[in-house]
Amino acid sequence: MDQFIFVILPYVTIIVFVVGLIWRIRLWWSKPRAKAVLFPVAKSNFAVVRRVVGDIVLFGKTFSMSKSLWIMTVLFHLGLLLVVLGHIRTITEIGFLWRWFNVKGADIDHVAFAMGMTAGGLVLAGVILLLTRRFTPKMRVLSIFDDYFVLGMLLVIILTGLSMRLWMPIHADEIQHYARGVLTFQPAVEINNVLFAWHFFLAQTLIMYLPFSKLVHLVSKPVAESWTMR
Amino acid sequence: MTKAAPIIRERHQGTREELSNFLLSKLNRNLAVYFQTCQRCGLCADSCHYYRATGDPRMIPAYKIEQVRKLYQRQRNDWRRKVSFWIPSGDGLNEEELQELKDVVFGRCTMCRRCTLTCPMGIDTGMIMRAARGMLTLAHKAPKGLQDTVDIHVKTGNNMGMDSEEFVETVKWMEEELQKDIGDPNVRIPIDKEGAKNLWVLNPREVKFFPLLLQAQAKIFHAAGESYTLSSKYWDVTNYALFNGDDKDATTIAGYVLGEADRLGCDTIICTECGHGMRQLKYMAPIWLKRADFKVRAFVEVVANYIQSGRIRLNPAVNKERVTYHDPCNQARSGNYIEEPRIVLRNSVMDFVDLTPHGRNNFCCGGGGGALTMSEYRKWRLEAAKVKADQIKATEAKIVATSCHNCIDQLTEINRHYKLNVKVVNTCELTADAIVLPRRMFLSTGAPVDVGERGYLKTPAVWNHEVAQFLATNEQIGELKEQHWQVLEYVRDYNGRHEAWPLPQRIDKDLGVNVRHLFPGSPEVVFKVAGLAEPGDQIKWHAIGTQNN
Repeated sequence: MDQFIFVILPYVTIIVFVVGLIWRIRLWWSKPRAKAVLFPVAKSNFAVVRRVVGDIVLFGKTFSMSKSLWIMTVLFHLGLLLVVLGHIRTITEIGFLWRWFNVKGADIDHVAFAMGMTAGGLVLAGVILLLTRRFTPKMRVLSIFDDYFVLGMLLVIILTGLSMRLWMPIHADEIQHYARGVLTFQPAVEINNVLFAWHFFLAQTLIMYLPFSKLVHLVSKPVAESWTMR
Repeated sequence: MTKAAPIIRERHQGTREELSNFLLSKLNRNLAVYFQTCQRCGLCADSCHYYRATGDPRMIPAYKIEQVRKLYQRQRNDWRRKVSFWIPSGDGLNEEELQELKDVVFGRCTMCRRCTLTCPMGIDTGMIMRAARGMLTLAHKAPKGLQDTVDIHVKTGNNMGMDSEEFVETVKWMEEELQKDIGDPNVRIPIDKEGAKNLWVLNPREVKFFPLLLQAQAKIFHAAGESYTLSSKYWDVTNYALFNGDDKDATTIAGYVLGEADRLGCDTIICTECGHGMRQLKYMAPIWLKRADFKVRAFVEVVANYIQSGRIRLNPAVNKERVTYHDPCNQARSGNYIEEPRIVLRNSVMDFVDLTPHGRNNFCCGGGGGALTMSEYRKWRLEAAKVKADQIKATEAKIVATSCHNCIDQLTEINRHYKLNVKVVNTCELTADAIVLPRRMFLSTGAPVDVGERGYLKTPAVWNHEVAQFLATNEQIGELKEQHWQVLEYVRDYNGRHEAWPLPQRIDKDLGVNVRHLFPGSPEVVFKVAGLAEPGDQIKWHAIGTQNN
C-alpha cells in the first residue's frame, strides 16, 4: 500500500491533474461563446482586469451580499493560499526567506511550525464554518454531493496535516528528501508515518478530482466573470 | 377546457431523442463553464425576487440552475454517467419530469438576470433558462399562452393578430386626435413613407388597448421635427420567441421588422417603450439574422437626445406629483438604458425619486420573461411581486413610470393586488404632457403665426396682444398683467425709435418695475415676448446713460 501511495500515485496524480485540466479547458474552448453582457460594461480591458482581479483579491461581490459568508470565504481562501505557499518547504528549503527575517538554526522549525499551524487553523475554521453552513435548511436544498465531498475531503486533509504536526511530526528534511526522489524519478518509501500517509493520499485524490469538480472555478471564475463586463 | 382550442399553427413535436439533441446543441461555452463553475454558495438567493418574497429555497437561482444542470448530466452517455451515483437514472425527459422542469424554468424565473449581477462567478441564469425553455417548447410543453402569442405573431405579423386595416384605422384616428390636441390640421403620423430616416415600431398592446400612447409619442416626434414612419404591414416590436427559447421563430419575427426597415429605406429603428422588443432587436437580431447594418434606438434614448440637444422643450410644472421610475430589466441591465430615462423624467416632472435599489440593480417587476402570458403561474407571479410593491411603497410616489409594456401590465396588477394607490404610466405620457409644443399658433382669425428656433417671432409684423400672450406661454410666463403690457409697449416703442434694445436696468429705471422678476429666465425673454425680430450676432444695447433723446 505504501508502495502505491508514495511511489506510483504521485505520478498518476500529476498526469491526471494536468491532462484533466487541459481536457476540460479544451472542451470549453471547442464550443462557441455567446454574449452575456451586463450593462453598463467596463470602459476598457484594463477596467475588466481591475474589476476581476479586485473581486478575486477582496471578494467584493460576496461582501456586498453577505458579510458572514465573506468572513468564511476569506478565512478559507486566504488560509488555503498560505497553506499552499507553506508547502513549498516540502520540496525545497526557502532559504532566502529565513535569511531575510534573520531566522537561524532550530528557530526555523519553530517559526515554520507556528506559521503552518496558523494557516492550517484559518482553513480549518473556514472549512468548519462553510460545512456548518451547508447543513442549514436553506443550503441543504441547494447542496449536492460535490459540495459536501470537497469540503469533507479538505476537512480530513487539514485535520491529518495539523495532527501530524502536533503528534507525529516529520522533519522537513525528510520530506524534502522524499520529494527530491519523486522529482528525479527515483521515488522510494522512506517515511513511516500513518498520518502522513493519509494526508498525502487524500490530498492527491483531491488534486486528481479537481478538474472534474466545481473546484475548476480556480480557472473559470475570472473568465466567466469577465464575460459579463464586455 | 371544454372545447378544443383551434390550432393556430402546426408545429413539430420533438421526440425524446430530438429533445436530448436540442439540449446538447444549446450547450455553448457559457453554459458548459457555468454548470461547472457554480459553487451553489447561495449568494444569488437574495437577488431573486421569487426567493425574497417566498423564502422557499427552491426559488434560489442556484437551485434552478442545478435542475437544468442535472438534466444535462442525464443526457450524457459515457463513463461519467455511470460513476455519478448521485444523479437519478433515466434521461429526465418523461411527462412528469418535463412538467416539473416547466414549473422551474417558466414559473419561477423571469430571466431578469439580477442574479448574474450578484453572482461572484457571473453566471447568466437567463441563458441557462432559455436553453431549457427552448427544449420544452420543442416538446410542446411551453405554457399555452406564451406559445399562442408566438404562433399568432409568426402567422399574422403581430402578436395580437390585428389586420393591417384595423391598424391603419387606429393610427388615422390618433392622427386626428393629435391634430385636435395641438391645433394643427397638417400634422401627420406617416405610414409607409419611403425614405424616412427612422422606422417606428410599436407594441400591439398600445394599438389595441392604449392608442393614446401612440398619440403621446407622435406628439413628441412632431415637436422634435423627426423624420419617421410606421409600417402598415409589420409594425410589431415584440418577440415572445425570446422567451420560449425558439431561435427559429425568433429569427422569423425579428426578420419581419428588419424587412420593413429595408423596404422603407430606414437605417434606424426606433422602438416604442418595450423592454424586450428593444433588446431583441438591438442585441439578439444581429446574431439571429447575421447582419449588423441597422441601428436600434429605444424611445427613452430618442427623447433624452431631443432634450439634451434642445429639440424639444419641456415644462415640468405640469407634472407636480411625485414620480418614481421602475427600470425594466431588459432596458437597464440588459440594454444599457440607465441614464436616459432619468434625463427624460427629471426634465418632465417636478418631483422625481429613485427606487431603492435602482438602475442595473433594480428588482424585476415579476412580469418579465413573458410571465404575463402564462396564466397558470399568475399566483406565483403576484406573490413574488411583493418585493416590487414594497419598493414602490417606500418612495411614497404617486406615479410609477416605466418604459416597458410588460412592466406596465404587471405594475398595474401589483397596484391592484397590493392596493398601492399609485398611477402607472409610460414615461412618454409624462413627457408628452410636459411638452411646450407649438412653434406655431393660430390666431382667432385663422392665420398661422410661426416662432423660430430660438423663440423669436418669425414675422414681427403680426404682433398683437393675442400673439404676445402665446409667446409668453411659450416662455412659461403665464397670463400677462398690466405691468407686463407696460414693459412690452415700452420695449416696442424704444426699439421702433432707436433700433436698439434697452438694457433691462434701463427699463427698470424708466418704468420703476423689475423686468427680471416680471419676465424670469434669460434676459432675452422680454424681447421675445415683445415680438422683436431675431437679432444677429451683435445685439445693440442701450444702457442707462446712453444719450438718445
